[in-house]
Amino acid sequence: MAVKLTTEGLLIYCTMAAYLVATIALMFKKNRLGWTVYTFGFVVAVITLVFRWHHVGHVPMQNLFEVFLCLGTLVFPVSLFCLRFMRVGGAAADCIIGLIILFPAGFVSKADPQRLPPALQSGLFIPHVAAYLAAYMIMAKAGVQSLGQLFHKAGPNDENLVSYDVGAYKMVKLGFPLLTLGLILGAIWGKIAWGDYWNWDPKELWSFVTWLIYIGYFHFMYVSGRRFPRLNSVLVLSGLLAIAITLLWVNLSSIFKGLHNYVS
Amino acid sequence: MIYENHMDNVVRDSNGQEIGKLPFMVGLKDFWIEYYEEHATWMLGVDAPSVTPGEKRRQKTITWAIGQEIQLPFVGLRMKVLQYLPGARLNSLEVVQAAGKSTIVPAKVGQEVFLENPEGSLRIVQVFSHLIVQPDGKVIDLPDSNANPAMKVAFDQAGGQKTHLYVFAAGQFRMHGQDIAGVDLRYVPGPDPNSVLPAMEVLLSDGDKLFRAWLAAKDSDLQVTLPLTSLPGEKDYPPYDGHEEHATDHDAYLIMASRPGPIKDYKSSLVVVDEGQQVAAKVIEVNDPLHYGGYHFNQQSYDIREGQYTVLGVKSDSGLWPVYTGFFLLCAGIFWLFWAQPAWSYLMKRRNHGS
Repeated sequence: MAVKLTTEGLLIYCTMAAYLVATIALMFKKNRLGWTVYTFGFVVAVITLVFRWHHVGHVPMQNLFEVFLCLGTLVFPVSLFCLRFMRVGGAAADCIIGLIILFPAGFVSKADPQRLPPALQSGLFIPHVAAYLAAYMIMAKAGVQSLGQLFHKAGPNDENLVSYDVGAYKMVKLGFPLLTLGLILGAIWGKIAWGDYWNWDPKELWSFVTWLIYIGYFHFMYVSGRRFPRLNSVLVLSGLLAIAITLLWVNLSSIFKGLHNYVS
Repeated sequence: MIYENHMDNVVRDSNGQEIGKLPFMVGLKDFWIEYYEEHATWMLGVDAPSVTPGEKRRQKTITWAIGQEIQLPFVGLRMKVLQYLPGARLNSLEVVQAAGKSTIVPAKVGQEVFLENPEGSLRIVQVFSHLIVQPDGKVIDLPDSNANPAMKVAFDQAGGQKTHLYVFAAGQFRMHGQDIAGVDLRYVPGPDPNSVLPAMEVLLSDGDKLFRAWLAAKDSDLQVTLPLTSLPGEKDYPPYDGHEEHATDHDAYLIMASRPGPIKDYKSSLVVVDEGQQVAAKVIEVNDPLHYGGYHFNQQSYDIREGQYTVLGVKSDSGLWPVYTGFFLLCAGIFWLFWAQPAWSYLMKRRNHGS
């Protein structure tokens, strides 16, 4: 844990501050102020990303620091899109998620610029990782909706927004194709680079488990619809847990040895 | 597994057992690794002959710190690093007069240094990038090379005497040409912010005598060496015994070597020979395998020690298209079900309810 006094670090702290102010403003229903500051935070996050891109000479998706940076930048577009086109709320929660994600980027993860190793020099690198990052952010929103379903009985504050149960379903529907795309692109890339579509290494295994959990959610919804809203929420949250394991535990724990270990 | 300049068509499993033969030969012309240039680091070490003549040489890395005196392995010398310049260039003339008074001036034509004992003025008259002495005795410069940098210095002594002498960057223990008694002239590196090549000044001592020397990297150097055998100090290896096959081995060296930065690419240059004709040639990388005869060949492993062979994975390409079609159908179906269809029905609803 250390304070990063580099340009990147300071930009990240600025973004985090903006997200914090936006969270508080949105929670107190000061929507204009909240969204303005939120937009400002997004702009700073984009600047950080572009700065990092220029600094390391390649798309910043190689290590955990860069992944957190990308995710922290994705919160805003996902928030905005889901609110405007799908009537799913939770912008304040999204800001909190942004804060939580940027915290390790700002204080923990190693930010040393690394050169792109030979294995990652492929045209499939960006689509594969980008699909997963977008999917993760959307599934995180789904998780927030599910938490609302479980603990916030009153429902969403704004009557223009859909209920939490519907919100979670819409989010999972939005994110699942991206999850699938990431999985398939990974298989194609593996075939080209290593000769095999699948190697059952920990990262692949847990990404497959994540995919199966959401498939299970869809089947369960098909069979029993909204009769068991709490179970629906539990399934969505289990999917989010599997995502957390895929993203973090596999990369950080030395008990997992596999082909993906250079990524972290 | 294919060695450089060899061909093979035997396919083995992970235990090395032969499981089949390809109907054509795959040959390796060359295997090499490319590195990212700008991240090389430099280390210090000693390379000495073996204790028993004819055996392998010995190398040992030295951990050093500026100002710290350490015992060098294999030779009876203690070493202290006086200076380390991470970015240096050969650009200075150092004049050491009696009582250790040292003056450093840029190695440029016209630079003057005034000496006290003997009294007189020293002036740089020529700077050589690669000094060679022609067979007819003429001294000329070959500026295309920087293998033997040197300076020609004119000494106007008080009293009218004029002499010329040469100062070389290499071989700093001996001066060539005429010396000025009591004055030590050295062609040395100085810091250069535009340079990425380091230079290190060391002080070597056998407990009795002291020697100062510079190790300075030039553009093409992977390592810089300083011969040590001719210096005093008790060596733990025998002196040159006169046998021809040991001739190149009899010296020990202090070496400053660059360790390459991160790996940029693993490359194998492959050729395929089918029925005696070369039918394909390709330099493959990790994400760019060779595809021939219904098989894909990608790099699985390589000779870590010497880079002499590469291990290729062989994979049949049958079933590629059905699998890719399946991938496509899966993705298309899911995108249709969860994105396109809801969006379509939403747009239809909007159209029907809008005016």
